Amino acid sequence: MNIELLNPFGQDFPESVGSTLEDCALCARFNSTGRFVAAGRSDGWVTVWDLETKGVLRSLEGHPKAITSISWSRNSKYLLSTSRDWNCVVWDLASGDRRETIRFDAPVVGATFHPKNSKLVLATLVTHQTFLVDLRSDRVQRSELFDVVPAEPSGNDMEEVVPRDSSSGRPKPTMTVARFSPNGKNIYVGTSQGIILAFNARTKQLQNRIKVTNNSSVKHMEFDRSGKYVATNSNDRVVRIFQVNEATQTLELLHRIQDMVGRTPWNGISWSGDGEYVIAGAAHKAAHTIYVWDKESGNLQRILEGPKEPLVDVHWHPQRPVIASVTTSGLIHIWSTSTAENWSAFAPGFEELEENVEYVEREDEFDIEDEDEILRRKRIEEDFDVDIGSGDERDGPPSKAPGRSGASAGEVDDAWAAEGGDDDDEEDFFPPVVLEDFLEEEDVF
Amino acid sequence: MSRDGHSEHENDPENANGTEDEDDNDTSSQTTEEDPQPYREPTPPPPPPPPAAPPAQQRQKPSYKHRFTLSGHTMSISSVKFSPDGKLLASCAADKMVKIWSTFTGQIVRTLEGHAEGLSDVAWSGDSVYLASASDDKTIRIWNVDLGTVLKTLRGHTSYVFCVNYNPQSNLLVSGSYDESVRIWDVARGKCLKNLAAHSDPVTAVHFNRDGTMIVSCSIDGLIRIWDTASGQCLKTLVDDANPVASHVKFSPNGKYILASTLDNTIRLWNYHSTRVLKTYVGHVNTRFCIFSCFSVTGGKWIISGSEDGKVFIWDLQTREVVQTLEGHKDTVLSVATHPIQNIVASASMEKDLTIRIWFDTGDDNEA
Repeated sequence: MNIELLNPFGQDFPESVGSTLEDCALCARFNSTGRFVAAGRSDGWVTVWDLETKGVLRSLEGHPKAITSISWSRNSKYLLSTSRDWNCVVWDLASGDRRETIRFDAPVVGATFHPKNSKLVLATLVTHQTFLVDLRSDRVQRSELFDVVPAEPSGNDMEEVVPRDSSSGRPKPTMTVARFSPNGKNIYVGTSQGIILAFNARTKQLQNRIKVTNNSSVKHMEFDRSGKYVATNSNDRVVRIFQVNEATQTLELLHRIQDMVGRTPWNGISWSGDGEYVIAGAAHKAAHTIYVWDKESGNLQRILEGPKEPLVDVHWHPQRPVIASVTTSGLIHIWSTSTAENWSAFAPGFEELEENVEYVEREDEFDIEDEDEILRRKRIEEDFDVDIGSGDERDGPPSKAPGRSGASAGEVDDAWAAEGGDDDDEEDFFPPVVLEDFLEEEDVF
Repeated sequence: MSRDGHSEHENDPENANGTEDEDDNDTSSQTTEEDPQPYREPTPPPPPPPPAAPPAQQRQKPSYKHRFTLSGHTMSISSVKFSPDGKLLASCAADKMVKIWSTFTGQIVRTLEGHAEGLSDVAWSGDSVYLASASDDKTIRIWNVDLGTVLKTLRGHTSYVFCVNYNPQSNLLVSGSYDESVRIWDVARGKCLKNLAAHSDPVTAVHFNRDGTMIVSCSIDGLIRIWDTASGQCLKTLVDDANPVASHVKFSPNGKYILASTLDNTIRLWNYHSTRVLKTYVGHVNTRFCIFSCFSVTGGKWIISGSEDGKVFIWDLQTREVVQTLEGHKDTVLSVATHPIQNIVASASMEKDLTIRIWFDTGDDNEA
C-alpha cells in the first residue's frame, strides 16, 4: 500500500548487498508478497526468513539430504521442498508441520506448485522424468508427462531423432526443468536436447515441441509474472528471452544473450518484479556477480559485483528492487537500493529543487477571505461520501486478478485447476510469530 | 505517568498551544480553527431520539446501551483495547497494572503486574495471544495473556513510552515515546530494529496501516508523519494550518485515510495522498488529553471518541453529525475501543470515575 507514496523515480534495480542472512542455503526463493525468503539447506532443513526483521520465522526439519528446490504456494501458506532424498514435502507454515510427502523413485531436482492450487505439484527427477502430482482426493495421483514422438510430421520441424528407451520403446526421458505458465493452464518443460515441450496442464497432452538450442540442455526456465515472456538458461551459456504465445503455445525468440568475451556460464536466472529486467548469476569461480539485462532491448544494464564467494542461486523480489543471491558457503545476500532521505517529505508543501527558482506569488495568495464563506465551502466539500472499508477486504497484488482473458477452452482449464478447492486461500498469509514461553530474567542489565 | 498524569508534563506544550490557538484566532488566519467555535456552545447535543427499529443494515443511528461497568483500577485508565478475536478486553492504567476482562460477562480474567511505572497504552497481537504494554518505566513488555507471564522486555526508549501498536503480521511493534522518537521492534528477538527521530515533541500515537508497509505517527509538535516501514523513510507530513497539538492518529480500516484528533476539539479524516481534510468532526471537548478516537465499522459507519465532558461521542462518518452520546462516566473519557466483530464499545475514564463501561448496540431494542 505504500507504493503510491514511494519515489517513483527511484532506482529500479538494486546496487549493493544491504544485508546477509547467515544460513547454509543452496537455493533461496521469495514468496509472492516478498515478505519472506525460504532457503533450502545442504543439511536438508528449510528455513523461512522474515525479511523485515531478518530473523528466522520457521525451521523445517524433514529431509535427510540436501534440498534441491523450493516453491511457495500462491498465498504463502504452503511451502514445497524437494530433496536428493527422493522426496517432495509440502509444509504447512501455519503449524510448521508437513502436510504431504510425495515419494519418488529417484532424487528430485525440482518441483513447483501450480500457480492457483497448492494441491497440484509439478516435479522433475534426476532421471529426467516429469510428473504432475494431483493431491486432491479422488484423482489419479501421479501422471508422467511424455514426450510423444511424432508419428507423422505435424507441421512442426521435428526432424531430429528422439532417443528411445530400448526396453519400453517409449521416448527416453530427457526433461530437465518444468514450469507452469503463470496462468496455470500450460506446462513448459525444458529438455536435455534443447527442446521446450509445451503441455496442457489439464489433459497432460503434448501441444508443441519447440527447439530452442542446438542440442544443449536447458538448465533453467523462468516466466515473468505476466506469463508473456520466458527466459531460459542452457548449457551453451546463452540466456534466451522468448515471447510466449499462450494460445498457440509457441515461443518467439526475442534476445539471445551471452558473454562473448568471458563465455560465462550462468547459475540461475530471474525476472524483476515488473518484468523489465532479466538477471543471471555468473558462475564465476572467484567472484559473486549478477548481470542485469533490459528485457526490451536485451542490453546489459549493469553488472552487480558482490563479495568474493561464488554464486549458486539468484532470485528477484516480486515487487521491490531487491535480489537474493546465494553463495557457495550458503550465505544469502539481500541486495537492495540505497534509500536517499526524502527531505521534502518532512514538511508539507515542500519540494526539493535542483536550482534556485524565482517565486511568483499567486494572485490571491494573501487575500483575506470571508470566514463564513470558507466554512460554507468546506461543509460542501466534506459532503462527499468516503469509503473507509470494513477491515475485512483485501486488495491482492494485480497478478492475482482472475485470469478471465482466456478463451472458453481456457475456462475449462481454470475450472479444472480450481476443482477440489484449495485451503491456501488467506491472502497475504503470515505464519504466527511464536515467542518462547520463558520468564525473562528481570533487568539483565 | 500515564495519559492523564501527563497533564503535568504536558503543561508546557498545552499552554503553548493554547496561546497559539488564540493567536491564530486574533490574526483571523484562514483556518479550520473556527470550526469548533459555533459548535462549542451547545456542547451537549440532545441525545438523539432512537428511531423506530429499521432493518439492521439501514439503521440511521446507533443505539448503544450501557451493559457492564468494570471497576478495579485504582488510578486513571489510559487505554482499553479489544482482542482481535473479540473475546477479551485489555485495559491499562496509571496504577501500573494491565487488566484483562471478558467482553461478554464483564468479569475480570487476569491482572498483569510487573511494570515499575504507570502505563499509557496496550496493544494485542493479531492472534490474541500476546499483549504489549507501554510504560513510563521506559520499557515495553510483551505478555502471554493466558499465562500472565512477561516474554520480552523491550528497552531502548530514553523516556516514557506513550503509545504502542503491532503490525498486522504481528512480527513488529511500533512505539512512540516522550523521547520524541518512534521505534520499530523485532517482536521475536525483542530487539529494536529502527529508531526514527520522528518528531520534536513527545509522540502521542503510532499506528500501522492494513498491510504493515506504513506507519503513521503524531506528536505534540502538531505534525502527522507517514513512514515507510521497510526503510524508515519519512514519506509524508500532514499538518493543519493552525498547527494544533496532534493527540491521536490512526489509519482507516482500508488504509486509505487517516483519522487524527487534535487538541482544538476536532477530529479530522485526512486523505493523505492529496493532503486534504475530507471530514471534520466536532462537538466533543478535547483540549488537554490524548484521547483515543476510532472507526466503528461493524454496523453503521461511525467515528467514536471520548470527551473531556465525560461523554462518549458517536458521529456519522459521512454526515459528520453527532448521532449518539453515551453518558455515565463522571470524568474525562480518555479511551474508547470498538469491538472487531460486534456492535460493542468500551470506554474508560479518569480519577473521579475509574471505571470501564461496555456498551452494546443490539439494534433490536430501540423501542424499549
